[in-house]
Amino acid sequence: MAGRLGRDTVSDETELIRAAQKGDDEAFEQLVYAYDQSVLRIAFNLVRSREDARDIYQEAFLRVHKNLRTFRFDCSFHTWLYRIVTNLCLDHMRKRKVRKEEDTVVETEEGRKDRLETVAEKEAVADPQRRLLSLELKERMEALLEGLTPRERAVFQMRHHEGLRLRAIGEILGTTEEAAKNCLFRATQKMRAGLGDWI
Amino acid sequence: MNCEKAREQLPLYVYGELEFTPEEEMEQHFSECGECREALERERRMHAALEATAVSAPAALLSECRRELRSVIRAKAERRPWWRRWLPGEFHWMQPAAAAALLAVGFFSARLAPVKVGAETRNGEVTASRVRLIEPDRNGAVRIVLEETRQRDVFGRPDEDRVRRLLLRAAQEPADAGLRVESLDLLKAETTAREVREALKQALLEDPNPGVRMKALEALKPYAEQAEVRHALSQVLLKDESSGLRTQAIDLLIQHRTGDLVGVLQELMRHEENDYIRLRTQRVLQEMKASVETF
Ligand SMILES: [Zn+2]
Repeated sequence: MAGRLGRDTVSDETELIRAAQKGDDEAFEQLVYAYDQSVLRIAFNLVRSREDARDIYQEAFLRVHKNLRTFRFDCSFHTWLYRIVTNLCLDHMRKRKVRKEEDTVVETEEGRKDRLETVAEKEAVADPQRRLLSLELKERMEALLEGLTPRERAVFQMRHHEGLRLRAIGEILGTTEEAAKNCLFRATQKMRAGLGDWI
Repeated sequence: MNCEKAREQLPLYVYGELEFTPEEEMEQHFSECGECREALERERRMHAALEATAVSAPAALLSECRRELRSVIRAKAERRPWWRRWLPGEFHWMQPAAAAALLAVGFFSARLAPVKVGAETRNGEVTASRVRLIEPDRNGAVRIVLEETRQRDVFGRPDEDRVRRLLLRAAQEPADAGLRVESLDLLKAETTAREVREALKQALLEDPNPGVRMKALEALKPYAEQAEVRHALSQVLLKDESSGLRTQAIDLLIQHRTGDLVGVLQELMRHEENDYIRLRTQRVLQEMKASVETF
């Protein structure tokens, strides 16, 4: 029903893309609905802010809408789409790294709080199981994730949470499987070193 | 394979990214080397802990994004020349006059076709149309069948029959999980109607989106004593892949400790991997003086 299109529906997808290329907005919408849950999940996990994830969602699909006519099926549609999304996320994360100190604080009902903290809190309420995971360990891991470079973070996210293969990740990032592999290597090494005796 | 090489390849092994032969060699090495086996366990524990850092986007955010995108794209479409707006892409080469002629044929034939005039279509305005069929005849004329989509606003309270029917339909809208969440949220207050409870149960057991399933479970909470609802909750507990949902299901089920609960919990102990759920199950089984043995 929902989620990514299966292998057997590839031809349907091609038809949808061709129809959308000809200006059929209904076909475009169907195409969006096939992928937008993963797009939003990637964006939300990488930028960890509701508003920013929302901006990235809009920007990504508007770019797709605008440039779809030039899509020539050289790569799969989903690779093309994820490339747009990850590039937007990477830009966003790089900018945020620069203005990080002044900008991660948000106003809440209980006063000023770190943006990440508020996201983490909301999530903890949503999933009772997660309350069990020691809060300290969780904070530690969040901090380690923040310490990764944007690209390491993106590779990590796509491999770990989206379950994409390294070859596909390399293609999305416009690099080789080998480079994606090295990136993932560095990310896990940093995480392991940072967690020390915690695990 | 030596330990140094094994440690180097460990992350790729855990991610399932090794080729067939190196993977075989790794497994061979693990069977011989306790230290590397320990390192493997540690790596797996780290993966499990990292799993918990994944956040899922709120279901309401998805529908917000979709609405916003739709309105932006619609606004863009309205800035296009009118004949482009009305015609599918393959006709864009046409000049306005030809396009107008084509449209006239379309509307004319639509008017000839029997149109059901009822409450459903009376106030409907055509908001989109696409050509479904083009059939030239011998005299050089052409028959064109247009399919038109009408958009209509319906206002009313969720307890009105016709509104409820529409909400029930929206609760099954396959393309839009956000819409399903919103309609279930409104139907939550209408659970005295049997059809609503049926729809909620169906969503709980069959909806592919965990956010929608969670919404359905919340709505069914007041009925946690009913046999049918308990049966659905047991199914969730035994089969749902979301540990959040399983946690909610067990919390609800154990509020009423009926005899059939023991069997469900014992079956659960055989495969449940979530620590919290195992812990609760164990405790309840002990309190009910039932065997915790899993064999
Ligand atoms: Zn070894």
